Amino acid sequence: MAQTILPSRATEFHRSAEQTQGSRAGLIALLAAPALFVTLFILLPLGIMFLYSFWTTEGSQIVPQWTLEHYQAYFSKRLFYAQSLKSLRVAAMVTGTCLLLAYPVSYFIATRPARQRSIWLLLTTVPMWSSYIVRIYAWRTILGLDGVLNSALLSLGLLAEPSKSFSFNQFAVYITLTNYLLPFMIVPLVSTLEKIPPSIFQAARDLGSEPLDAFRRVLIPLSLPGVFVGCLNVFIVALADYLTPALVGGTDGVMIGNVIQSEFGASFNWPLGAAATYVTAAIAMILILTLRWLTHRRAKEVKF
Amino acid sequence: MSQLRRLVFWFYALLIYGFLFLPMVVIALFAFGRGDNPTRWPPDLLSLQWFEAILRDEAMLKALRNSFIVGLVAVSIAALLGTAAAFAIHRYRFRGSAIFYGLTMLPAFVPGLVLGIALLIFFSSLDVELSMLTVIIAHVTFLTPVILSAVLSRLERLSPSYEQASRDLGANAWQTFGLVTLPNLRTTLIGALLFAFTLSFDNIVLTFFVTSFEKTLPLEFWGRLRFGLTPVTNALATIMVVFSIVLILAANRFMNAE
Repeated sequence: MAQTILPSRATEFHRSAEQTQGSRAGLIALLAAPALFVTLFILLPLGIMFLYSFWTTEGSQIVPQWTLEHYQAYFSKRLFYAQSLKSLRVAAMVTGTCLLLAYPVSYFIATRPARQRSIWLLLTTVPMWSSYIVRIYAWRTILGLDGVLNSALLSLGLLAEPSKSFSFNQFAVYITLTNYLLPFMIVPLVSTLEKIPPSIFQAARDLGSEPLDAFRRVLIPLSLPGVFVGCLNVFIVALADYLTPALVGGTDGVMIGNVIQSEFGASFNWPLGAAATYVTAAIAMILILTLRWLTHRRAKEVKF
Repeated sequence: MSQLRRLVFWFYALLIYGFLFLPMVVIALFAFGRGDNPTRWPPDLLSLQWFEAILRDEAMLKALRNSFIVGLVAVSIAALLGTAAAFAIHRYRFRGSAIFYGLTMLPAFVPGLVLGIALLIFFSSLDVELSMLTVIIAHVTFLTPVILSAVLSRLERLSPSYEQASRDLGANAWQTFGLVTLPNLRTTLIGALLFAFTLSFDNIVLTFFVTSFEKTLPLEFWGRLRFGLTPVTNALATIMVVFSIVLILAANRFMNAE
């Protein structure tokens, strides 16, 4: 989820020859600690987790006996495949909603004068990086029976009595995740939109495009890389979140993250949990690559 | 932009940011409330009793201390690892450089759920007992990318001619590093450290899996929520929000200062 604060440097490592300097010993001294740490605490754990997903459980023990039963279980147990589909749907809905809500406001921010723009961006970063758990918890207070939403609707006369239908269900998860993830969509959108020179939009208008047409055929295609990064941020976090459903979702709002997490808690089947994690990650990966292909193909058609 | 369009845009932006800040505002209002029902709107202002209650709450103070220890230690380790990695990548061409970069950055892209489970399995397969140390290790995994990316992007924008000049004028490698390179990195590094500390202080998704009885503040908070909502949790939540806002504002100032 940190993509948005990172500089956009994909895999390019071009640098002039004179910058490459220093001895082999110097490189080893710099590289030793981080390389060891990464191998030990990132690469190895992910590798062992992969092995686990093929191992057998005997009682509370996990024995290194190869099996595919956990992967079969994922595709045959309703709990897993149905929950995955539901979670993919909720994550996609959250992503779509964030995109729709964020696009106009990002365009607004991107076209502000520099000073104002940095204030708006700061206002975006604050909720983005602070108090994840507090904000989820707040929604319980907002959506509850005598919460803010019910009180507001009652006083407006839109409801005759407090409604229970806002909390402890999928709707609550959807609202909470949208609120939490919206900044992760706004920031990458603003950073692509602000790079599009206004003159290009003007040129489209001068050449006779209607504003809406210019928007659809010039602005949107040029902003697709930002759209992709934003969707990626939101989709991954929404899909993997397990605390939001646990706090505001009730039984109706359970997501695949909760199912996986419970395999490491109450249900205690670690290999099954590991397999479910890898399958879900693989499905997410396929969707992301498809989206990337779609957005980048369209973006290539319009270049400036 | 026509006047009307401008007005519509402003209105829409304020609406969106109202939505973004709504949860924090609601929590803060309840924290200052007099009543002990933390859900009934509107809260009955104004009282500081729930903040006083926190000061008497041993478990919360302990969690606060734990959070600071984890944050300070993890950020320090991540600072060393991330800076070393950034220099290695920037200064040297070596085989596997891109892979090394990718793997180090991985925790910025992989959800906490996945990494948390992987670390839990890893620690338990080595019979390592979960403790503050495992929490610190987990935090270092996702804080290192923050430092690495900040330092690397600063190094890439730093003109090599400064260091060249320093060497031409007779400084050795250490002098050049201490007197030229480091001062140029300072504000970026301070900003990145503050930002990393915020992330550590706020993290629960990953911490959840690798923690023992030594709870950090978000986990203590989470534990309380299971017993229902109380105004004390709101007061704690408010403190957490204010603290991270201050940190983020400070981090932002430093990172944009160069």
